[in-house]
Amino acid sequence: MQAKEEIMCKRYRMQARGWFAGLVGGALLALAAHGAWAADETYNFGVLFPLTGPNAVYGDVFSKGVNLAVEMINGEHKLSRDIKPIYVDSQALPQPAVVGMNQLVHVNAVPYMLTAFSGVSNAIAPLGNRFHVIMVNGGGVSPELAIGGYFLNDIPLADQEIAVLLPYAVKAKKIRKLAVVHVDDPFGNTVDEQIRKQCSKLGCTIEPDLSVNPGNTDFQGEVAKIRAAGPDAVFIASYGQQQNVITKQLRNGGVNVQLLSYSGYGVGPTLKLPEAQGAIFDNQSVSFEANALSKEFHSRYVKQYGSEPNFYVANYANAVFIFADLVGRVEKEKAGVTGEHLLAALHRQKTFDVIGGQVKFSSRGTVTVPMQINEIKDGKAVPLTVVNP
Amino acid sequence: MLFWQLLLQGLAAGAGYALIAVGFALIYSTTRTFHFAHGVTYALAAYGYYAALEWLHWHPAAAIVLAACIAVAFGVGVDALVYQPMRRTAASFLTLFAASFGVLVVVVNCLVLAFGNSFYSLSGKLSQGLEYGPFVVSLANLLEIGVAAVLVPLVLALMHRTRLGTFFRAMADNNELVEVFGFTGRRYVRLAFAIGSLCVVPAAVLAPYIGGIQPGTATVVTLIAIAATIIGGIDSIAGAALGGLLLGVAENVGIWKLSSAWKPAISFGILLLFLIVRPRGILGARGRRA
Repeated sequence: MQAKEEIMCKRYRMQARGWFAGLVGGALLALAAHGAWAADETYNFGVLFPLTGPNAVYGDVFSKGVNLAVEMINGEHKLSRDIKPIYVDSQALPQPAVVGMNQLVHVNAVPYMLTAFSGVSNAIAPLGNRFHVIMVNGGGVSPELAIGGYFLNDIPLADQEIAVLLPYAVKAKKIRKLAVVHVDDPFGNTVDEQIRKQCSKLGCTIEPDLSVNPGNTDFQGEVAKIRAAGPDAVFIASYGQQQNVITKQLRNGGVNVQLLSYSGYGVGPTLKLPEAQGAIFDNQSVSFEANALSKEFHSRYVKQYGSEPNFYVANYANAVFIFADLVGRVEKEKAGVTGEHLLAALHRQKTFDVIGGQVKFSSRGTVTVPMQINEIKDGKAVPLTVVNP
Repeated sequence: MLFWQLLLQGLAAGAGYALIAVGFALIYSTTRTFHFAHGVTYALAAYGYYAALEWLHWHPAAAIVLAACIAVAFGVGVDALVYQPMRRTAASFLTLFAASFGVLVVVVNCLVLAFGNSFYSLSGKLSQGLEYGPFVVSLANLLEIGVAAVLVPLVLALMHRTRLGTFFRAMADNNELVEVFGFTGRRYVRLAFAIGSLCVVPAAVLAPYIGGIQPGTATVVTLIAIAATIIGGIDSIAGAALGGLLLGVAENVGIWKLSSAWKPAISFGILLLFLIVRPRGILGARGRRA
């Protein structure tokens, strides 16, 4: 009798397990079907920006350009489906960025994505190249980002920036001795290398050449060294909040010479810093009068956000416009919207009409555009001159 | 001249380290608690001061009082809510250390959630460099040296010339015997945490004017306090102050010929050297009975 009850109990348990497995399986199938259906509704592309942490200030600026471009493209209804950005937080750090990239590649299966920051872009590039996902960088400027393949830059890299800024600054500000403070990471080290190359060409000396840890906040030792060397100018190659702390401590430590920097210096919090006034930096020149798209984007941006768009905004908006352009071409060819097809379309097209005029990618995935040299005055970047490299 | 400028900066940094290490040493020597969360006291006081000044627009004096209240409340609170219940169950030194480490990790993560990972710094007269001939030093740095010069002797006087200090030293020597004589040790433990936590406030308040603050500062400060206390002699408060001063000077003078990236290596290199050559620290032998 007892044995019979045990057999019955076992049977019930097995039946219950079967039901449970069936329910879980059904739920998973439904989820997968929903995912596939949802994925079919829109053309998704990935956006791997720092949304938290000390560099979230950049992610915020970049996202404004992306969102407005998406709004403009979807409003035109030129594609058979809307386009949709899938945001993932990179924290501007390589490790979280690789996790985010894996999500975009394997879970969201995007054929195209936007990336920012040199360390992050370097870290994710092998994944994108392996899984055939086009990656467009509009913010990182390390010369190491001339990777090619599926990796594109629609921003001029630091070697191009320094090749324009230093000849101007050396001549205009009569710089004989230049001090360099650079962050000790792939970006900072390659920028430092470029400065050395340019300086040796221009006949200026570098003293002292100081590297700082990315998380460092106390630069009193560096300031003392710079002050003792007595340079004519100091080049700051850092980013985020750290460049503000370096600038403040330089001025507080009695270093009152000309400050020079690269395009990353031209962000809101730095421009507003009292200690940064008078600093000179360069970035790509973007004319918002260049074509109808530029004018429309500019007027809508000013209306929507109440501020002027900068070149970062234009670069990331352009990356979205290029995505829509490529999707349109692939749709006409009735091919699937995959990384391979989009890249083939890009190689056929090469030149794109975007904000600021035309952009053309080299085989190394870089662009050559006019550069603008700016001075910070009254919390704004005031253009000094435009240079055509 | 660069050497003397770096030495001056080293003295200022060392003064800050000394203030933090003195608080840590006072808590450790009297309560035998390896208060790993001491750096959190520093970070909370610094964030409290910053928030009161920048976001609530309080008067600096009121902001300092708030920072002090936060520091004392945190120190005493951790003792009452974490260490005391564990001591009642006769928890080992290692268990208390693990709990303290846990508090540090949890609070640092809470700070990240509340304030983000960004640096926060303050500008003003305190942060501006003042030129004295070839030297430049900020008012914040001078204040740090001045406060340490007053506070460290005060704490030493408290330990050696007051009745409270006698209790603290008695507790450090033999806590059970103190209780046998009918004194309640718990009250004095609480007082030790309050005074030890209060010691970090000047350094915490001046931190946003000197280098800026971020949540990770809590861990760095804890490690420096521990290194300074070990270098100075684990039971010696005067030794901890000397250890802090030595670390500050060595870190800054060390970058005279090296890159600043070597700063942590210099500090922990000195710690390692002491552990090998003189494990009881600078004043360790005398400090055992201090």
